[in-house]
Amino acid sequence: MKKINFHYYEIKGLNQERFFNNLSKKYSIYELNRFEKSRAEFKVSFFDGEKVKKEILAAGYQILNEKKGGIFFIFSKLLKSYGLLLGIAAVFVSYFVQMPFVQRIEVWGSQNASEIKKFVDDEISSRQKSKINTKALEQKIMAHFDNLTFVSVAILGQSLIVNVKSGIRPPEMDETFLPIVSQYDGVVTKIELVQGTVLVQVGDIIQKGQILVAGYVENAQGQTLNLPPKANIYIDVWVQASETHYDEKVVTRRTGNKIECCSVWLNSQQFYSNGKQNSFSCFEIESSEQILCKNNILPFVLKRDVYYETVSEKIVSSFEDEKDFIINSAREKCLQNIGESEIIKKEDVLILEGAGFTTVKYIITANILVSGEDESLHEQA
Amino acid sequence: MFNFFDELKKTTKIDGNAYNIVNVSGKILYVEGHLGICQLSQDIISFKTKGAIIVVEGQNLKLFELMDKTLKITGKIKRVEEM
Repeated sequence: MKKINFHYYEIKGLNQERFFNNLSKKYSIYELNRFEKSRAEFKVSFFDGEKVKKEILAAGYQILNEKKGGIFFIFSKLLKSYGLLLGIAAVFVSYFVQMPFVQRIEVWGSQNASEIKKFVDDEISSRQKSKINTKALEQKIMAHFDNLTFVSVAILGQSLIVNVKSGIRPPEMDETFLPIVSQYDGVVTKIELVQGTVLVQVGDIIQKGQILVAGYVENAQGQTLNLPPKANIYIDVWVQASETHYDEKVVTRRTGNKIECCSVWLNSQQFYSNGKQNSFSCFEIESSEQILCKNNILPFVLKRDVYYETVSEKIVSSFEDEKDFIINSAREKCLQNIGESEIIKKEDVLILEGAGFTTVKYIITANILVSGEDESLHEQA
Repeated sequence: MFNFFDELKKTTKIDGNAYNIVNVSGKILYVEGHLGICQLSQDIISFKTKGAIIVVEGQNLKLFELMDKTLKITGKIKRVEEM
């Protein structure tokens, strides 16, 4: 290190031996060459250079030549280069002054980078980093450009990096989903939520058309995410049907006799008739028309009237004789409104007697499963 | 630690604490225990030791290193004489 970083002197004077003997007691001397009687050259350590110089001058010698070398010398020279130091300081100052500002905007991953760049340039009110809200900028870019599926905005150094990805947005991003709606009036007995936001609780009385599970969730950040609601909601419902028995009733039935009258018409003019006439006193009639020609020039129409002879009978019966049949009939009606998979929990019969009639009300309490999977139809936003 | 001069003194059983001189191929002369140089030129370098003066003769002699107790002489060393 001492040889690399040196201080070189060439001195002139007499009686140098004593001087070097004294000097060597304090400092190390290198490459001492006395090439003339009164002249000698030598090197000392870079750090001892100034002290040695004082010793040389104090001893009365003349310094003919003086050099410095080595890394420390270069450093010390640099430290005295005030222009260079000033330039470095200016670079640092300008660097730290412009550090808080965004100098350029880069858009990665998109073909219409120039549009996005211009949009971002217009959107940011200030180039100051602290005033740029990257999250809000991401949302604005996403809202403004339809074909983007991913947007990320980050400030790296003095660059505002906008990383975007184009593609088809998944339906969950844009769609809203129909909620699970109750098709029955009843009481909620059990809720198995898979996804979505449940809007009822166990024990709630619900009406037909009421929303049970909504098609969205709110995440921890407070954002609302749409998704198809999926849940199993068990509801106790009451299905009822009634059947009425009359003590006396008139029943009309066909005897089997019939008369068929046919005629052909052209507009309002009759062209043909089979000549048969209705001779029944009590009858039911069935009429039909058939176009004979499939054109508008001669629109012949065949009219057919069929008369069925009927008779009316008065039937008298007591409720007790037909009670089981009536109740069973009411139950059958009730069961038509209940699916096969639904669990029947309770069955009740209510008999209401009136003047000349008896009404049977059959009530079934069933547990119905309302599942969201079948009803998770979604609609386009 | 191994010391060449101590080992020499131990094996020869000769006490010599005044000075040590090593001549390397007639080009380097290493001296321990000098007490100051007496004469310095490119042909002759002489220095004091305890009880003697050593004279080194040669050509282009140079004091490569001069410290308080040691020195190194480089150049073409022709003769080393104790006076």
